[in-house]
Amino acid sequence: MEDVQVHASQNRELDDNLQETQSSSADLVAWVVHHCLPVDKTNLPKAQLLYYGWVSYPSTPHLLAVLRDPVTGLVQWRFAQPPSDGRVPSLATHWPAASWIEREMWQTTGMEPVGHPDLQPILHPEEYLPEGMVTGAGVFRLPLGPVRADVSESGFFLFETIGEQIMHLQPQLFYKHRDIETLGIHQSIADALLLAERVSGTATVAHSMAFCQAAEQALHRTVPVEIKWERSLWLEMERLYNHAHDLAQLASAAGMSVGQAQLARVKEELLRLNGDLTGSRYLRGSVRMGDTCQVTWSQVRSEVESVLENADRRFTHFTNLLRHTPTFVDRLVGTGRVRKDWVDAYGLVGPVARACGASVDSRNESEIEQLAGYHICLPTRGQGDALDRFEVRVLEWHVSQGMIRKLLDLLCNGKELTNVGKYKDFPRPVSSTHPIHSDPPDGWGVGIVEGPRGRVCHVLQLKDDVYLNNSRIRGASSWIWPVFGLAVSNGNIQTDFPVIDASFGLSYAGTDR
Amino acid sequence: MSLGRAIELQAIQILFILLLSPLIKGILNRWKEFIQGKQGPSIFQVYRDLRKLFHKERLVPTDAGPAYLVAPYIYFAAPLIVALLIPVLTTFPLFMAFAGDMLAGGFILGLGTFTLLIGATAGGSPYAGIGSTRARFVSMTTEPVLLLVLIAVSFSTHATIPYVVNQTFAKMVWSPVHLLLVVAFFAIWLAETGRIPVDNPSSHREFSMIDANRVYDYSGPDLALIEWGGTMKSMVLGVILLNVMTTPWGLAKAPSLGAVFWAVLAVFAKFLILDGVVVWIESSIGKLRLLRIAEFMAGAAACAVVAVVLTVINI
Repeated sequence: MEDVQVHASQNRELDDNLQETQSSSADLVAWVVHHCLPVDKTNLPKAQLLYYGWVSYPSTPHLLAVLRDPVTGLVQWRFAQPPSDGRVPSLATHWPAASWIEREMWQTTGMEPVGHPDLQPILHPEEYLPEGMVTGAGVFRLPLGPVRADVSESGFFLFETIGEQIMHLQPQLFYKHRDIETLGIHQSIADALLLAERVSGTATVAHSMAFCQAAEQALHRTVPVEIKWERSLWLEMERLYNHAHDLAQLASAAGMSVGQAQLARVKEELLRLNGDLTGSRYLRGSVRMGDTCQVTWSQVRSEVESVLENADRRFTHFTNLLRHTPTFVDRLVGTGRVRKDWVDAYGLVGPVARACGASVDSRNESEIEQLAGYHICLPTRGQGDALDRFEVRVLEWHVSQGMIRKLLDLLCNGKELTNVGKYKDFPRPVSSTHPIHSDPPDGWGVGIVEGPRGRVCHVLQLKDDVYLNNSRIRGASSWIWPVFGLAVSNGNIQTDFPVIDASFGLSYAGTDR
Repeated sequence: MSLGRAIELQAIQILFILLLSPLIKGILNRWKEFIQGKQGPSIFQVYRDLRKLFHKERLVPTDAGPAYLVAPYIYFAAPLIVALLIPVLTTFPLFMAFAGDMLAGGFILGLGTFTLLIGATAGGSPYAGIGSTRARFVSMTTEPVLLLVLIAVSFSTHATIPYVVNQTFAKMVWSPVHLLLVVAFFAIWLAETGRIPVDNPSSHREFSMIDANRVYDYSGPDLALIEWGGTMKSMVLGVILLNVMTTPWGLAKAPSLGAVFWAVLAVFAKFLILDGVVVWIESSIGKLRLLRIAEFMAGAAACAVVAVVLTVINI
């Protein structure tokens, strides 16, 4: 099968699309492998896998892969109908990143990925107790969770240790499966947006923004640039409080009580600012389909800037103190190291990938840099340990601060947002405004957003431009979770676990959906 | 001194440890939060927690052995027995003073800790198991230092009875040997009472805790006894640190109730200073990696060794 780029033109019927985009499942897997795996260790992979999984399209489950070229931004879609016996070749044999999603697919649809290296149930974890992987003298199995100390989400971890040394860690998540993807089907766009906001509380903006982007693409509509600025602003506000929270957790895990308390205070001040601006501390309702949040930016600008400046001063002071505390640095350096070859093998995203030297950031790849007229400085570090994840988050905080100032400037000097109109006034189709996107099959859309933990991707199909027919969600943490277990058992001892846990700062709900 | 007065003074010593140890911990907790920029809990919060625990139900694991049941009582009683042996409030020895020296005190406290370890593992929780092994690891590094300190003490003061030791140290007027031993014993105090940099007393994360992990199975009155015993152990070791190793300043010189009253205030003030030092340490450095605890205690051991050498060559 040739590498077919799908350019579904507007005047074709849906059936024509199907013809062109359908291929056998083996071809689809070969196509993903060909594009997403690096040829050798020195080369970068040619494309990012945005989504891989199944959709019930049009009625029976189909395999779907969505790829994007990170340089040109070209998005390519491909569907494949599985054979009647439901046996599809496994992508995970070539690429471990697909392991969890194939297990979920197998358990949900019955499609069996043939050759999957670790085909275990992943949903309904309460029914399947994990068995250990390590045998031998002195091996000790230690369960942790699903209910843990402090306010943490539900997740079960099976540690296999010899003394303090962790030999293997098996994370078992999916305790909070709500099946949001199915809930959204046949809902109106407005209702589905509410669902998207609730995928993961700390990534509300990322998920709702990705949903809106996908829905707008499916509707062949575009939104005014001012709305994009405002969405970007909310996204950075979300990143700020998330990074403050993650660093506070890290300080707490290392026993730095003052740093923890002060960074938690920074987070609280930001949450209150969010609450004052939008009425929701976690920014629910801030991203709307083709509409702004009705904030008069020129009136609130000085207040926002003073709160941000105070938060920035406190954050900078206490992260500097942490950086110069030998016990803190010693606790972090070399802890929970992520090996560089795991970045490609698992398609890592977000601060975890950037701490391994990979410059992956959807903000740099999408249209935001042209919109705001500047380039985002991508802070990366090379060692991939907890200290680098700390450093990357600190640097990203400063980048986000700069972005927010710039966006505030644009929003205040731009047109009055209340006069830009709702997007439904814009004519359709306007595919020419997306020159770098290959057009998706009719009715489909993809939204890509760099959330606080990395790339959030929503893939959806609209029916009659009103209802959701298909909805697939890939949160940032779902790429990183499989690596978490590897990083914990990478030469660490049990007391390192809280530090590693805090330095990853992953979301359970965003993975589980 | 009449026997009646001696019994009164002894009882005051016991009550001083028993009743004020939660307050000292409560003040420490409040100051620590205050430094973090918070209001902090009431200084009487530890008493409230104890009262709450005493009113709660006691749950015992089905397969818990007898060691599990007796451990809280022994852990609670050990510091009180040691309080009979050491100069808590008076410079003059009371009638139990010669029943045991500092080594005996160490052994009695060690018995309490050891019983708690055995009791915790008898409960069957895996966390109690890892807490106990970690606590053993910490003890393994602190006990040689403690012995070295005691050797240095006996070399330099020619005594191991606490009432004699502190008078001899008072005459040494802050000689290098004295200072080194205070530093070494302070490190032991930090490790034995589970404070930063050895353990983080305010952590709730199962996998990083040492002391708190041991008592995972205990509940209700048992847990209250362990918590209370912990505060008393910390205070008794603090008494050794402040009144024996550092200075007998403030202790009552005459067997009158008035003198003892002023001694109560003075010793309490010394503990406030100790609280302040601990708050300063806990707010400025983090918890060490588990294996670095050995290096920390090696530093304390080095102080003790230097003290021994200085004593032997008679500086």
